[in-house]
Amino acid sequence: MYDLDNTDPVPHDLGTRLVFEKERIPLAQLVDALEAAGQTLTGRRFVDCVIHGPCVVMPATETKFDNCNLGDVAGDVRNLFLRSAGPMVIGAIPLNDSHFDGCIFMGVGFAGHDDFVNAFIDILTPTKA
Amino acid sequence: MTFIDSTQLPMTGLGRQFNLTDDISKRAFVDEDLALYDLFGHHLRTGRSMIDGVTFTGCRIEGPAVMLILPGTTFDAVNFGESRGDIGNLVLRPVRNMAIGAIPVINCAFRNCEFHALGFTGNEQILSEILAIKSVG
Repeated sequence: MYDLDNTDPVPHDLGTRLVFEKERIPLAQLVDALEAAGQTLTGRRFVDCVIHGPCVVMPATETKFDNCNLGDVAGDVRNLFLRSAGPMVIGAIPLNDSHFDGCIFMGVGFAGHDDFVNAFIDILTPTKA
Repeated sequence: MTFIDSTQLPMTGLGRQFNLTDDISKRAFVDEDLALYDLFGHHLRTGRSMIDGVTFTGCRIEGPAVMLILPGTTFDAVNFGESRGDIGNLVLRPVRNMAIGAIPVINCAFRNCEFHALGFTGNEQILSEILAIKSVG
């Protein structure tokens, strides 16, 4: 699980690593570094990391979030989400085939189409007894 | 030190070559290009939580990022960017009443600018205005 007092700074080799552990990862900087290396944000694993925005991400269905804290939602988990008004989402960072395990997200929103948003909200909303 | 051959920089849609700003702390950018994330990072480091009161003339503003359009921000003769055939692709509606992850922009003016890889969110009025834009070309 993430530990804010025991997290390393942003690594210098953002663009070439496949696995990050106990590190601060600003997603926008990661995308820049990957672009510079001719790569995209796919197939990465993040363990116990602090994932920084500001950014809006668009996770693909195969991207996993296990034991993650998605950030301060000001009392309503729906505040994390944005719905696309079109069939595509421009401006969001696509997260393909990646795995976030024990991470905390700070200033990261989630975007997608109605089905994705509704399903994600359902997962995050505790069922009433 | 890195030397950049300016003649090798790509063309923007503004009829000139890419011209990365050398001073992100400016309050008025003219014919300069920047990433919205970098500008916001500068504002955060100087104790401001929003991009407030900056003017952009003839600039290329790059993402990936989602801009939260707040009151006082104006757009005059701007190209909102490649919409891939549907202007709705540029628009994101908050599900509730916050837009976590979006970069707040207040009291800013964009004139003759172009945006690249930016999405836009805000109140329904401004989003409706963007959605009403007709594609050109």
